[in-house]
Amino acid sequence: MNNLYDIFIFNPEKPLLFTQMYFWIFFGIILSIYSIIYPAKAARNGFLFFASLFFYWKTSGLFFLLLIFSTIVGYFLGLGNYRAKKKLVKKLFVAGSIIVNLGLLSYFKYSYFVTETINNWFRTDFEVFNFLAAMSNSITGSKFDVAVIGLPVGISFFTFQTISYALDIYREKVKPVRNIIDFGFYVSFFPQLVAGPIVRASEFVPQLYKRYNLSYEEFGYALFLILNGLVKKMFIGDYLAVNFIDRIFANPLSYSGFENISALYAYSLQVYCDFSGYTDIAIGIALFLGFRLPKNFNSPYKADSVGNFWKRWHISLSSWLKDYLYIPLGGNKKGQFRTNVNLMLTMLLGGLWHGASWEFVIWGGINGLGLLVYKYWKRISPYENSTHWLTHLWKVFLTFNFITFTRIWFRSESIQQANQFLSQVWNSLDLSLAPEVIFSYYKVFLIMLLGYVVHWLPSGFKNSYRNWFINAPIWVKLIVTLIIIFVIYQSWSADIVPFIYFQF
Amino acid sequence: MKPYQILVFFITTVIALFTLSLVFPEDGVKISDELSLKFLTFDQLIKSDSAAYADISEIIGNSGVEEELEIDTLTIISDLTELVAIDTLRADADSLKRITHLIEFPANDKRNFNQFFSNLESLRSKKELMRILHYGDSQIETDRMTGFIRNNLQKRFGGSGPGLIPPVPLYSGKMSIRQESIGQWKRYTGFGKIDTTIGHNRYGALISYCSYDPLEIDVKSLPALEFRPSTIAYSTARIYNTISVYLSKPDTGYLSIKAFEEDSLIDKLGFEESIKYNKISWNFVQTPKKFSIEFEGKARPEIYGISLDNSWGVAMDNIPLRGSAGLVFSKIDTMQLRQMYEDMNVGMIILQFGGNVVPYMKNFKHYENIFKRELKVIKSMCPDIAILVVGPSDMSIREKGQYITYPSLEKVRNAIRNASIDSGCAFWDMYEAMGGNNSMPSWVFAEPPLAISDFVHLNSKGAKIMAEMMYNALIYEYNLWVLEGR
Repeated sequence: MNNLYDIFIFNPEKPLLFTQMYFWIFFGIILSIYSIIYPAKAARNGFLFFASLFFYWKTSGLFFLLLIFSTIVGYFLGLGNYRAKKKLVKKLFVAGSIIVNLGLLSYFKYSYFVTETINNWFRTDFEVFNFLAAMSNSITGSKFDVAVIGLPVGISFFTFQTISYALDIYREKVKPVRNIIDFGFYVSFFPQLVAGPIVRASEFVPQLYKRYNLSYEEFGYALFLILNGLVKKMFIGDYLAVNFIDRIFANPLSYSGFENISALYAYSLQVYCDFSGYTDIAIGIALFLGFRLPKNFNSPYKADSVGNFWKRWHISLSSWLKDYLYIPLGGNKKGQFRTNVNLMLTMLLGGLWHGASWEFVIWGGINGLGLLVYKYWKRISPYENSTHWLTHLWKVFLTFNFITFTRIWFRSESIQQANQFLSQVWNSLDLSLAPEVIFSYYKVFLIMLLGYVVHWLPSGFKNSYRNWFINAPIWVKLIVTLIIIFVIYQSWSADIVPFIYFQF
Repeated sequence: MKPYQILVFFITTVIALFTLSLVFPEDGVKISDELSLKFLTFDQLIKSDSAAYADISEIIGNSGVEEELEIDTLTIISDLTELVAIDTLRADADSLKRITHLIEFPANDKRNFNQFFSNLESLRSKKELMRILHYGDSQIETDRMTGFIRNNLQKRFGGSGPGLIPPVPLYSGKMSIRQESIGQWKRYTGFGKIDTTIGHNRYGALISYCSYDPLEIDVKSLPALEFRPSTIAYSTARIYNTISVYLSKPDTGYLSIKAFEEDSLIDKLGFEESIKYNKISWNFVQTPKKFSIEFEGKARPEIYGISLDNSWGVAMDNIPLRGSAGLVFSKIDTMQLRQMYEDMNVGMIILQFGGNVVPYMKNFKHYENIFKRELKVIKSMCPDIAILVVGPSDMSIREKGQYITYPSLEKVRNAIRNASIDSGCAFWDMYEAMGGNNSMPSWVFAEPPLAISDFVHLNSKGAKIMAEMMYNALIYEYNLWVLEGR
């Protein structure tokens, strides 16, 4: 009975993450029901909407009410926007959607950041007060803590999706969704709800009205993405984080500069494996259910410039920021100076989107500067048009190292920690320790090497083994799946690499 | 493909995995000494998949660390039954009482501690300086735990400054002081990798010293040590008006030492004869923005430490011995160590070890005996001081994806506790204080995290909470001593 009860209650310690067994039990149940009802489009969409709400309930508890609120507001404002005849009224509707969604995002994600910044700048002593919780307590008698504002999972994604929906209707790129259930389904579709990709209404909504259709090759591709994502996330990302990266970033001063730099390069791989692995799984699961989500990563460390990197990294966010922030700001149509300002603003705000702290703003700022510097450099660079492989290699090398350098601020929990990292690298590099460090952490370095080598394999080669898997008979797919799950389990259950001292 | 076909594939995969879990050996399949293949057993598959991690909500929920680090307004309740260290701006007394994990005393003998409290209380009136030496393993590196306790003790009993620090720290060193070294300084330790070529075992109170080779001196850039107050340290650590250098000069030959405040020369000393051990001090009206010592000459100094203190009050020194099990005191020159302890007026020694033997120790009785030997050595040097032994924190190993307390942890803790109590030293059980069995995962998975994902080390936030508990335990005893009429 307890297990049955566990299925329905919200337990913050057991969120429905793709890497947890609970999720796959959940998905098995969803797939079973879906197998029966999928031909009826309305029932299918309705079922997936309620499944998504349940998923969100299991992941974020009562915040699922927020998702329902966002859905209702987004739907009716979209409808009003579409039906309005006057431009001004349309603008009011679209402004309403932006204000509501950015308001929600600001309230839940940036309240602490704003309060702390004001307190630091003006030496005040303000504290965060959750007036929504207070209101709920006084109306319903609930007992929420008014001193805490929790962060609903995926809020950065579903608010951005709703904003793009409102703007696309305003720009007449898309017609409103036919009913609120379908809209709710678009906003909350569980595979991409937590970590993207950010799906545009124009790409997703038409799929709501199409019949289920999945070829054998697409099934193979979806399975490949899921397994690939699990390997990236669990075999590489989690192993590197637990056994190396986290302990060094927790206390950079206790480690030599060489260990700090190694942790940074390991982190550069981890963050890619975590993020792209998760979206690979999301895309694969969505495809099993017959829905196509956009590709979100395209071997980003193969980029030969910072601009090219941002066309390969978290593509759905980059294009969102371009279409709904950079271009509305004026893009590159208002002169050199304004273009540069727009670019920097986009990158700074993009940085802040990733996390509510100044480290992310700095990270965004450095990336923005990288874009600007390259923009001018390519005008005078004698090698810009060179097609020599060495030139390309150098550009990829430079871009990768620059992006990895910016990760110092992306990973550090405070500016002080980032400074400690830099201080260790500058003052205590201690390269003489390198052989000992590499030897002692050889598993970590081997996995890191493996991860980077696979990442930098030629696309043609990658396609060939992917296509082999896609076209392989079903029993081969089954055996490969079992082997990969078994290997992932070895990594997941491996002993923690013990703490090793190199200097006394 | 239809969804039901995908479902069939999904179910087939699950059945295959399920079958594998039935037939796979529970202890795994050993491939080599370093690699064995494992898989979930049927039991693990059907049972709840999380080990029972300790509930630490009361411990971290009642901590006032996050709210206000700088506040310490301890008061004492007159009723002995309600005795508890209360911070008037924090939680209610009951909640604090719950998290004050008490110190254990041998046969309830608190004489040395009461003497320590008496000395502590009189520091302000006598304008004396008394030191607390906090030895430990990597758990206290970068002033973790020590910094919090020092700040609170100094605010309550007077005193300031970061305390005794190594001339050249391991890497960039501590958060409590900004220091730089110029020249080819080398660090020699009496623990870990010991340089056997140095021909003596005088390491001083920090169990390490720093030196340089005079033949390698660049005359344009003489060996020097520079100190500036840290901008990120606790407020009390940024203020000091007395700086002392503890050193020896094993060989004859000229050695000149120049002291500078900012860039002005304030003192110049010259030595020709060898020096077994010496302490040189400088006093200031206010904290020097930059203090530096420059060395010149053909003789080599061995610097055991530099103390930066207020002229009176409490000084507390953070002495992390990375990788050590605390078995060092019997291996170094105790004559010189005793002299340094006397010079520094040591009132209390805290020894926080055990973590480094937990993964490897098999013979616990042996560890108990050799730890006892170390305590005996310390007591023989300073029989009247208070000695507080702190046991290891909880540490986890991963077993089939779950984090469980090292099977040997409680045995190591018991060995250290027995050694302490048998030697007449007090013992504080950090393992129980942080929640006992399987509590480390709760600290790692706390939001925000309080420990590092090696499941061994506390992070700075966790260390502050632990330090607060240790401070509360100490102040509880102090309050008790006050209430019992001193």
